[in-house]
Amino acid sequence: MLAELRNVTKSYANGDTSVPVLEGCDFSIEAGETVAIVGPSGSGKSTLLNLLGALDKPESGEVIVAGKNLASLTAEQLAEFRNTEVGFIFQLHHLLPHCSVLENVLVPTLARKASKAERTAFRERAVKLLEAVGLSHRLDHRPGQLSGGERQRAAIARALIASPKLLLADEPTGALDVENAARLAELLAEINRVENVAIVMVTHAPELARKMGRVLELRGKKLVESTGR
Amino acid sequence: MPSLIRNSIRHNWRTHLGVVLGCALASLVLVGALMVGDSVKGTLRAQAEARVGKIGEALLCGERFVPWPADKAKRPAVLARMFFPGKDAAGVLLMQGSAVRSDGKARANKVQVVGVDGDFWKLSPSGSDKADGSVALNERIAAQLSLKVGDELSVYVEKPGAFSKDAPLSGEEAALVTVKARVGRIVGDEDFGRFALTASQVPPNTVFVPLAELQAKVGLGEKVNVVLTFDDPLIYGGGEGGGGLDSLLERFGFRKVNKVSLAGTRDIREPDVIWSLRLFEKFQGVPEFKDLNKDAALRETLSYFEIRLGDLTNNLGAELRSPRIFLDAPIVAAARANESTKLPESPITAPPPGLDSLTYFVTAIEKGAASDSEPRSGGIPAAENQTRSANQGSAPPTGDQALRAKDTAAGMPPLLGSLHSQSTPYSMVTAIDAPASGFVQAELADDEIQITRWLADDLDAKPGDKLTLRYSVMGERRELIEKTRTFTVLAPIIEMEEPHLDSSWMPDFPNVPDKDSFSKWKPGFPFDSKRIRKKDEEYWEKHRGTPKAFVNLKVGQEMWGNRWGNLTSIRYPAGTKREQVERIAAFIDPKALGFRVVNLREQALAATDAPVDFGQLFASFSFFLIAAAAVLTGLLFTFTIEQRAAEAGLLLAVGWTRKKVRRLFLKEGALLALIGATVGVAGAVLYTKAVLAALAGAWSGATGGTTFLFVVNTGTIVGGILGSVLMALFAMWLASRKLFKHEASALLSGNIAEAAK
Ligand SMILES: Nc1ncnc2c1ncn2[C@@H]1O[C@H](COP(=O)(O)OP(=O)(O)O)[C@@H](O)[C@H]1O
Ligand SMILES: [Mg+2]
Repeated sequence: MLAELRNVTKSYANGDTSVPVLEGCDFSIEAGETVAIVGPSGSGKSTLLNLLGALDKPESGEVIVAGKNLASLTAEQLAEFRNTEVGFIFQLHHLLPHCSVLENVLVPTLARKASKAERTAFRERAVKLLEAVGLSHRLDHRPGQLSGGERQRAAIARALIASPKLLLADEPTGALDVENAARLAELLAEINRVENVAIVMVTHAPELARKMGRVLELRGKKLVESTGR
Repeated sequence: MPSLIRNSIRHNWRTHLGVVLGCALASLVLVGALMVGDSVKGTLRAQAEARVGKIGEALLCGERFVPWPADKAKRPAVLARMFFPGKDAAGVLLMQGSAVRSDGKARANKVQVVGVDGDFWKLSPSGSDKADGSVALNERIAAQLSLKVGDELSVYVEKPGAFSKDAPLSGEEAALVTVKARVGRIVGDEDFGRFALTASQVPPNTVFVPLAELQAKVGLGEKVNVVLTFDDPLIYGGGEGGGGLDSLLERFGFRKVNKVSLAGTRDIREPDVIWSLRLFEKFQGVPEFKDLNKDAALRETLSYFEIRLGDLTNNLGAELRSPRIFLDAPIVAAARANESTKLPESPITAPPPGLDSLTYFVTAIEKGAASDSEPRSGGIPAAENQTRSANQGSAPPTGDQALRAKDTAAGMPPLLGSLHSQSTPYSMVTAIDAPASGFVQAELADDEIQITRWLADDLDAKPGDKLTLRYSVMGERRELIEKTRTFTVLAPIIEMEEPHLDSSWMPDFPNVPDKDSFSKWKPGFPFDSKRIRKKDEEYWEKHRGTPKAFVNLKVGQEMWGNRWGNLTSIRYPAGTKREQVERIAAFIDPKALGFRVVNLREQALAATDAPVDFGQLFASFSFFLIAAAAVLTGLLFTFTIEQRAAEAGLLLAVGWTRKKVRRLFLKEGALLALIGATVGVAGAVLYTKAVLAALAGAWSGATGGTTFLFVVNTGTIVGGILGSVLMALFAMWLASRKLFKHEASALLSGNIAEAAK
């Protein structure tokens, strides 16, 4: 088992009242597995992904990733966890506008202490990843000079720089046209094969979801097997 | 990370502009305030330096003078018993006067007239000896009188007397001395154009006259009233030229006197008496002082303190008196100390107790009780009456008018043809310590008077008769007050043959007339020569100022004592050695007589620090402005990082710790603040110049011609930049605290308006 949610509850304060988003939610994924999560907007898909990636904390229930119960980790350990165990891809690319594509890919490595040799190794890996996502000709470009699809591919490279076991993609194609969306899904599937990374992808597009090994649907604050096939 | 920050600043400069400007404002105000302070301080310091030049210590003689021969070898090695001038010292005659252009078209009233020689010019800031025997003006008076080199002017100074001009019986007003001169030079700040003993915003109007010329004009001989020394530790500390009290003390094995405790007035803390006597003795063992004659030195000291030592006729002993008429209180105190202090280590013994007396000039001695004014009630003796005549200011009523009016009012017309008169004019009366006198009746009571045969004959007065003394005293506002006091004649009448009865009791009045010109006296009191009879002139010719009556010392001091003293003589009996009396020199406190030793340089520089640091004052005035600028910087910074919340969220999401993200943002802020603060310094320069111009304008309105130096102090700039950067950074740290309480997901999605958990 690579990652697991056990009986997780999460709610957000809305004024004085607390609105539950997830309630008694369970989820698990094996290493190298790919899972698509679908569901209507506002159903809590991003919330679920944030919990898995330690970007947020549940009220109750347990989040266990790579054998670690996230609730037991300190702030520093959580940072290190985010840095090494998971890679995030957002609907908005969140590339730093003032850095080149290559620099953006290297941003996660800046969180670590590293020797000069290690930095060179990171750089080589970054170049290789950008090659793999088809951006070898764009290394020194600013995000502003890229197309939407290229930006998202740069974000994928950034998510993979630390060789995580788990890739969390929150509507990665949401801002892309159909053609680019298809290419991106293809890329993710290929990465899963080549790097053997498990992927949890939130998407609205059924044809993308179908490219994942398993499709789950968020309904009634819980994850259920998708019926939409 | 440095490149991250650099890139970010380059990319976000528009958003950052606010932060930069906020910090620039803070630094402008802070650095500007400190710079204004530096400049004001620097200006004051430069003015102080120009004022005192290379002068270190100065001996200020008050209203007295010390000898200062042109021949350096003859100059005293020690002055006023507390000052060691050293061989490079400059003696200066400093006087107040006025100056008029020779065509009379321009005049300056408060003029500092300084008699100087080459030694003085060597003490100037430039240190170059400019003594060329010509008269020099400073720029201020030259401008005020519009005089150029070669023009002529007249300088007026008051002829100094030994006595205070305010003291009673000091004679007619002091004469004005005129120095006519051609302007030889006009001296700037470098050449003592700002020379002054005390600080002021503007230099005084100064005329420098060759010392010897001024000394000759005012009739002082080779004397000065200010002695200035070099501010040179080599001269002062090494004792090479004879200067350096501390080193001297040390060499003599005296307790080391702490230099700090000596700042200001140089106190001698060893028991003063022993110190002085021993010092004079020890001088002779020191090469520099081997020629110093102790007795001569002591005697010389007496002359600075203006004590005259006289031998009495008829071999009656010796007497202490003063050309100032009255013996100053510190001198009397010293005489008492001299009489009562035994010094086993000194070969000179204490003199026996002195006989005190106070001889005064009375306008009239009248027969009968005072009748012209009503007795006054209250604590004042009923016998003492007074009338006031406003002898103040420019137009005093002449004495004879006042006296005539009184005579008729008193109903005492001159008794023509009578053998005896009712009133004896213008006489000396001596108040004396009767029991100690040896010739006045010891039991002389407060309301009794003992008279001489001549007076008894003149007034037909017998023991038991009433006599009234009429005399003038100086009021608090320099007005003359005429008073009377009635006494009863005590037997016996003192015969004219009495050996003690002679004119030596009369103090050394200035302008005392010759034997045969009594009626020409100008004693400084109402003096009506018409009242002088033939017999008065004969008395003067034969007996001069021999007192005609004696009263009790206590009563005399009540009547005639004043702030210049209440004794005119202290007499020592026959057999007293002169050196016993001269020993008084060791007991006189020069400070009490107005001598001061000051470190002019330290004083001048200390004054530039005091009372408050102008920069700090200015900065604290500007505090709210600076604080507001810092708060503004913080707010603008928050604004920029809130706009970049998603960036922070991303960095957290990819594994940066909160601390690291926050530090990145703050580092960026610090860099912005540094840029802003540096920009602010450029603004501060302009700001400072504007403030200085405004200050100069404001001050010149009041005093004329203060130019400010623009002083740039690297420390101030660096400190100011650091200060404003730290302040801005603190404000940013405070402001950014809230933002970093949000979860990464909230920052990423922009849901940061929600309350942080
Ligand atoms: N930080 C937050 N604060 C408050 N409410 C939130 C926050 N994040 C999400 N929500 C709310 O929680 C619900 C689920 O959101 P989300 O997980 O983003 O849904 P989805 O990704 O499925 O569209 C929504 O109603 C959303 O408004
Ligand atoms: Mg979502």
